[in-house]
Amino acid sequence: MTHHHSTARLGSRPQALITAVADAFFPPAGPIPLSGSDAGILGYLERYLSRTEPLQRTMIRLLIAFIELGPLAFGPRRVPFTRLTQEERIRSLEGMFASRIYFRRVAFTSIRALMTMAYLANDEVALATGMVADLDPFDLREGS
Amino acid sequence: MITAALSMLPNAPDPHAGVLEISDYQGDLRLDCEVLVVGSGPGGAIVAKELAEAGRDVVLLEEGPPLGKADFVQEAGESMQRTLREGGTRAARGNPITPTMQAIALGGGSLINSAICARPPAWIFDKWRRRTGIEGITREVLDPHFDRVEACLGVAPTPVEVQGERNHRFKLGCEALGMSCEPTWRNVQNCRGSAECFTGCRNGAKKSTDVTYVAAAIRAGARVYTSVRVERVLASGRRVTGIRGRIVEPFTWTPRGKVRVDAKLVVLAAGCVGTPVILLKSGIANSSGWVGRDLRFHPGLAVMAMFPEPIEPWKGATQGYHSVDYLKEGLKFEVLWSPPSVLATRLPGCGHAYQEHLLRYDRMAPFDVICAADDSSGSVRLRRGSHHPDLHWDFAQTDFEIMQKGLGILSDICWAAGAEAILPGLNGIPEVLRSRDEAELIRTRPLEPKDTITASNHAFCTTRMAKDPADGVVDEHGRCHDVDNLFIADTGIFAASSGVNPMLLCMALADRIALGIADRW
Repeated sequence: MTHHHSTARLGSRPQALITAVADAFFPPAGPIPLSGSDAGILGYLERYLSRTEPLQRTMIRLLIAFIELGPLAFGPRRVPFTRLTQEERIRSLEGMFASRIYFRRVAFTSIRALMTMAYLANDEVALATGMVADLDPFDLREGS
Repeated sequence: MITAALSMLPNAPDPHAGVLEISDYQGDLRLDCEVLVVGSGPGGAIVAKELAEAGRDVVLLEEGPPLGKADFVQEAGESMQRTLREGGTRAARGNPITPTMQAIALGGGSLINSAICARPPAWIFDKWRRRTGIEGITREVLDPHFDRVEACLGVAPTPVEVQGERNHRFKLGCEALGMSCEPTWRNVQNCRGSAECFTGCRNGAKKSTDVTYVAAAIRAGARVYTSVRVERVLASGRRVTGIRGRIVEPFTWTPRGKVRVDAKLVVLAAGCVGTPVILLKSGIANSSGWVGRDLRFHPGLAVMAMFPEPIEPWKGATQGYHSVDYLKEGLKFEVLWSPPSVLATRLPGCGHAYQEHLLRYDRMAPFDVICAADDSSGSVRLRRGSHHPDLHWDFAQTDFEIMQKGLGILSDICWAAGAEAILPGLNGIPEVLRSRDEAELIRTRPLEPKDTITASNHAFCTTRMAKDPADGVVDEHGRCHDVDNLFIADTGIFAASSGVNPMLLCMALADRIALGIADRW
């Protein structure tokens, strides 16, 4: 059964932002070696958006825009997210996580949930965490 | 039972045999029947089966598609987009914003819940009586219906061989504190402990209504149409005459052909959120003003217990044990598993530190608490220009204080189970608590609902039953006060919290409603 609302790809600016956010959440050379962009987060999110109803798609785009524009109001430097350094990007996200403003915390939880779904969807990442699906973890099936 | 047994055989018959799908439709649908049932979840499927077996001409409509083992995907994002309304992003506005998941598939919520079948204690119905004057719903009255449903589904306790270490640790923690902890009773057979309940059981162990009651309804002559969204109930004075709706494509939900069904009697079981939307759009059954009012949740919170050694929490029944010791105080304690990306909402941080937490999943166990939240309520309203509802729900501070007490007990369970740390996922509390003393902050720090990541998939009371027609939407037989031949049979008719997981109670009430219709109509 097909499952697409839209075949439109993201423009270059949203793509750059998603890649920046993905690599801030999941930087390269970390305890899981694969970075967010290496794990294919951008492609995952494009496919995810293509299956999303128009209103939810708009909400996700607004969320991404909020991430991009957030540092202009809240720092660590008053430039868009994509113009921050890697370290500043991580601090920007951490600032959202710990914010006294409820909506910023909700935005953080939402964007990180999307990013985490995408990251853990990568087979290599899943293998690294050990969380691989097993239909019969206790060998209960006859003949196993 | 027979269906369940047959489905286990090699080359077992298709459990969805006879279910009509969008590919079966040529243009618009125009039907007529004696009894029209809307919704194939724990309410509607029971009503359809019982009335078909009573010899009535039944049509059952379901908005979602039939999904079988081959359709279930484990990747959380795609799974939610396939099986949940609004792709799993539905949330109630309020304090806090509360995600709430409702299914859109044949079988409804029973397809993607953790299959817990729990009978509410008798005093729950005393609460119902005090709230809305309902006197005829008691444990004694419902027990024969619980018996019937449990027999049909093969409900049994979760066996120890599929519990796994995550569930065992929860049990250990409860018992070390002197709390009772019992295996959950579930509508599953031959569970292998794959913990895939929330994304669909690829072992086919879950006896959801699509493979049990719907299949039985078809064998008894019911006609089942999927991918049909009911938009309006048609009425003339105090009588409904049928429905109008649309055929909708699976997963994209794009409307296609039109649907018109004429019926002598209609039973709405589109869910606590879906049914009030239909009634509000139809402008019927609401002289009391209670349609969509009094939305009730069982808000839930989880903490991550971190153990010194790997416990492989993805192995074992999704929710294998629970403790009901604090039910009268409005708290129920459970252990659970869920797609890791969903559970990760409670982990702190980002960057390398967050990746470290993901690598430690093998040592984590989510223990959760749900709260009756008797003082908290909300609403279901229409959203302009959308078939999705506008939900609102506020967590009353009195209930939140009970919840915070529950979190303290949950913390105790973690330490008693041998945890070396807790990740509480609470704003204003350290991200990692490394001792029982440090964890006392969970009890002592003043917190408010917005400091939590609260969710609730148990929802009820939006078309509540009441003795006085001014005080509710239906009577104790599920019949709308305003409309002679319109019934409701989903969790919307609850008069108050069920105290425990609501599916079995919904089914028992639906069984009673169906037998009442068969008797009196």
